[in-house]
Amino acid sequence: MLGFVIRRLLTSVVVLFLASILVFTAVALGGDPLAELRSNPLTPPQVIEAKRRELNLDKPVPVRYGIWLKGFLSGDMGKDNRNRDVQNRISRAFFLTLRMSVIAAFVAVVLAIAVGVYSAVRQYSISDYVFTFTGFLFLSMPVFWLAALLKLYGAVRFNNLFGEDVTIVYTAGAQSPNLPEGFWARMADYAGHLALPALALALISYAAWSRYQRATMLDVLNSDYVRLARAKGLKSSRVLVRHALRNALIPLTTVVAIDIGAVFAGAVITETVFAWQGMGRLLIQSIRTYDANTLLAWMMVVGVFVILFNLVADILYGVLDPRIRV
Amino acid sequence: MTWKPRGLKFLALLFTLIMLAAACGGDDGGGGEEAGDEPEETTPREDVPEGGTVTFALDQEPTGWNPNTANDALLALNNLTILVYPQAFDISPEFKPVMNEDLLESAEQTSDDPQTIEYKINPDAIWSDDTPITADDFIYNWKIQNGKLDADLGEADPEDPNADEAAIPDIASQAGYEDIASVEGSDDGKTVTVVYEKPFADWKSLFTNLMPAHILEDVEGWNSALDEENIPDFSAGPFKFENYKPEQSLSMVPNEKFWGEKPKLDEITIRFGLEAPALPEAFENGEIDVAYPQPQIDLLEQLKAIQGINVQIEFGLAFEHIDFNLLNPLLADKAVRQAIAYGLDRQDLVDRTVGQFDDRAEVLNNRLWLNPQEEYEEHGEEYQQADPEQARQVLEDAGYVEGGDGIYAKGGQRLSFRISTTGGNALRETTEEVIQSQLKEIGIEIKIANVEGSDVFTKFFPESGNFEDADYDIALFAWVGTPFVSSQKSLYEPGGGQNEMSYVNEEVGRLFEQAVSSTDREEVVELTQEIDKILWEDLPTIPLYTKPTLLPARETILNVQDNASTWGPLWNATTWGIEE
Amino acid sequence: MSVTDPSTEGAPSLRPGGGTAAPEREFTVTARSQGRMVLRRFLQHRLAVASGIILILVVLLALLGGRFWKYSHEELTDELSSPPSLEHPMGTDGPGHDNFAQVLRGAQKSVQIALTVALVSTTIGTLIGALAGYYRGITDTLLMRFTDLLLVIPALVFFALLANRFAGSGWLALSFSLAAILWTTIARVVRGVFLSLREKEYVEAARALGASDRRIMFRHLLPNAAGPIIVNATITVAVAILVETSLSFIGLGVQIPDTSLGRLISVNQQAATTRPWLFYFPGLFIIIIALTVNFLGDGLRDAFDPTQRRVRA
Repeated sequence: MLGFVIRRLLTSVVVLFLASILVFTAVALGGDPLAELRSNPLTPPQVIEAKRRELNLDKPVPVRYGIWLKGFLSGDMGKDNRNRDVQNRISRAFFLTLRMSVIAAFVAVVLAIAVGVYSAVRQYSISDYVFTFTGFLFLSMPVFWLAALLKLYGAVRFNNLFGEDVTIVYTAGAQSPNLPEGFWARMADYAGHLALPALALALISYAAWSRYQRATMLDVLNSDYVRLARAKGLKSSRVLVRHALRNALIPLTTVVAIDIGAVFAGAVITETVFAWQGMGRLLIQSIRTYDANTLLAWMMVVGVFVILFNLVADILYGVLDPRIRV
Repeated sequence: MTWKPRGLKFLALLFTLIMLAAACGGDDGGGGEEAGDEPEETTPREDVPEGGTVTFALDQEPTGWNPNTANDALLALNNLTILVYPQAFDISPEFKPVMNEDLLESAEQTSDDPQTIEYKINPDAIWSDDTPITADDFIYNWKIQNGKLDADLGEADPEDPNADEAAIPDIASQAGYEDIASVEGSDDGKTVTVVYEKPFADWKSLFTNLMPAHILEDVEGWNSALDEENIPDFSAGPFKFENYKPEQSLSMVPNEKFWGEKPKLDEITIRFGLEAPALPEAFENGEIDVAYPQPQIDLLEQLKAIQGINVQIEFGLAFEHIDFNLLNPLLADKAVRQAIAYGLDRQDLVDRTVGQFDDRAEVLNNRLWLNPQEEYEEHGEEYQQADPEQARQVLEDAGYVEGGDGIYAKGGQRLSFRISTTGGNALRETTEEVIQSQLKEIGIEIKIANVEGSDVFTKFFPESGNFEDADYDIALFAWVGTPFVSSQKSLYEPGGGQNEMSYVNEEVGRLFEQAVSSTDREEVVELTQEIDKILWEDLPTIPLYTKPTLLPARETILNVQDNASTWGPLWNATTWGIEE
Repeated sequence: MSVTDPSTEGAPSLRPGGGTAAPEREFTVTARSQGRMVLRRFLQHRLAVASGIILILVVLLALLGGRFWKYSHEELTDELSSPPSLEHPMGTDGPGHDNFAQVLRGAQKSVQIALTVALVSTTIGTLIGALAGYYRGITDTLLMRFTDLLLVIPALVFFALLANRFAGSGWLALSFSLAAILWTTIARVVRGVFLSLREKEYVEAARALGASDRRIMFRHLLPNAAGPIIVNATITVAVAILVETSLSFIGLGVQIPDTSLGRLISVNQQAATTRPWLFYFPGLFIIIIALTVNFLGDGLRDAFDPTQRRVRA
């Protein structure tokens, strides 16, 4: 197992390295980061020239990549095209998005298990059909459409339930500009800002997982050992929780671990709708401005994140089902 | 219509243009007509309650805090810094320069030859660290921005390439400053005498967003002391910055050292990155109080429907126009351009686009002065009414024959052109679709060939700087303001750096030269009108319309009034207050 | 797509050893063609059948409807932002386009994009998955690390940069760049099937009889992967439509003069309360297409893999 992990980590490093070359080349050839500056009639030519040199645009692409790699290996992610510190921007954005994704993934898992188990136990009942249909509906909705509707019909009406001037859930940003005093008030502020985007993200993620959970649950319920447990006369709820659910959760774990990267990616749209300054916004911005340093740093951080979770998924898979040789 | 601010970002970079434009106005700062037909009622200062916090939403986020640098030159930043850094002249909502009485006691032209300006600094004017504002600050700002490095500020060492790079100040523009021969202080630094080498008509545009010489000191300080992570801890305006949460929010609180009229509010909280779609719910939910979004018709309707929100609409100084690439052999034929001008129904275009915001939207018939400006005059009378018959006539007279596909052609060459703009900007995309449909009626085919975002500008303004490499037929974009001659010159003069049309008319070049060096305002206006008439005659470009600005604000906030110039909605924030 | 047609290829290979050898007598009586069994199971899934019918109707409407509708998508009418009426069943937009014509045009492009993406990504994915699963070893490692590479690289970067490179080539370029990202799922699935089947006796037998690698892969192994491939290809159609919508939302989708349902709702994203017909009609089309495709995929999955439908005793 250890050998496997080491091998995987090593290949991952190679993969990341190749990916960085590809992305750097693509960005470098993609467009001119100084286009905006140039099109301004007033920008003095010497300023454009200085900026060009500052961004090393006067050097060939391989040399520029070398400069980036050297910096990156010594722990310096460099500056973006607008002279901002990339590392600071990335770490701020990363933790915002992480907060949203983790909560969303948690909500989605709970929803998926609840719905999946219920649908499996009451297979072909009306509620199974309703849950199935709802799940598929969320699966078939454009993310921003769902997010926009949540915001449109969720926020203000929900708040008004609690009185005229009460704000419990917020629609914009990750926190209030001036945080209230006190730990709990602050937590409430964070939670209020998190509620809608996390819910939107959870709703689009849970559907696929609940279908999966339902299928594995059905498998387990039909397995011999569960039949045996029933035959022995164990209480049905006990069989369900102790024997069936426990085993049915295992496959879900691996699926969730693999998909967590996708949840992270799904946050791009949700962040835009709810005006979060997270990884998604950073990515879109830096793509538009051909910001090589930011893009590469972004890719490294998210890449490591995705690779780690994939590795966890593989290990879990291997541990839980020894037949799989990875 | 999408909310992406790309178009504006480009415009924002041009913000200095408009200052130049406005600076050409007369001394009658207070005069002029309201741009809107319903001037907002103002509450007298004594009736404005003290205290309260107002949250202002911006769609962009600052990239640094020195708006004089090309790096940070965003309109959004300028809207904030006018309340923090000292300005020699402010720009009024009527697009006129008005002397800033907090900073200056007087600013006068004392000699015509050489042009000499004498500024008398208010003796009370100090930076928030108690250092007086003096001629040293004027000298520092001039030397950094004049494009020629001076020994005092560390001249470039030709031997050391690194020193060379470090010594280049990042400046958004050197216009005007480069024409100054000397800046001298006297009277304990409280009198500043500026002598111009070459007359500069829009001298009032200079010495805005003054930086403190004693804090920034040199080029290095200018370039990087105010980078994104370091908000200025100094101020010489009514507000100062505080409590910056990068990319999220910023507080503007009263500067207790300010010697002028103090703000009534306790704080203006700025929230960054709130783009148009986020606004309606954020307003309704009480998360924000004032915003300055990109115009979008559904946004406007949504905001109007929210109780307690008032939306002001003004017509600003950004104008959309189409430019013809005259290196295209077909477009080089004046008959074709004339036919297009006759074929375009610009009134219909306005009705289908900006006209939906407000009835006051008008067709623009001048390129150098815009509808909201006093100097605006309608030219190009013959093209004001669409005349498809005439358009076809012009083409036929020039030897074009209508083909079986309904498109005119001559010598096997069909009149088929690409039109390009910033993809994703819905207002412009709609404009293209309307133009396409109108010109189809007169037998000219238009193909839409947009490039995502501001990348399209590399097609208009190629990296090589050689317009033969420009890759477009018809360009659709906006310039800000009626940039006064000194800045607009490069758009239309032969060989001008921004003359991507490759338009050559020596007469235009000559008139611009004359206007640039004139200090007589009447003459300048006359010359510019003359230039515009020639532009209507030659038709290298056709103006379309000016874009509206939207200023939604909570009704309880007193004295919110738009200033559609680069000064923006916060220009009078010291008079704001919250109704009790 | 002949390789994935289960009705002709499925039967002999389903049963190990049945490929070339004559089947035993007893089995021929009961063994129906697998294609038929799949079809029969599929037809029992009423929701999937209904979805399939609706989907076909919507696709037909999208592909052909524009020709029969009285307004073209380019035509500017004199009614600006008018709500739905008999003349304009889905209203008009700000510049005066008939919204129904716009939606038909958008649906047409979205369907074209989705089908192209499904076709291209399935072909690439199947090929790469098959090679990796069949040859294993170094081929497998290289190909799978290559899919990892795509997992790591932010897909958006590629969409954005490709989109700019091929600006003007429109929806086709977008489809190919979407396909270039979405093939990995199918590749994994096919690889899995190949890995588990390549050691089976009937493959050994075929190999012993001197069948070429190509013949074994396409004749014997691929048909067994047909089920998962078809299911995944179906789902990809829904995924492609939704991803395209997301791309449009952040401004990286199709550009005019092309359009798509995604572009339509993105452009009108703020119209939900002010001009709801512009926001809801295109959105409704997206949901109908994606939902029916997903149900269809679910029905197919059940049909190919009946274990999930096992009723608890």
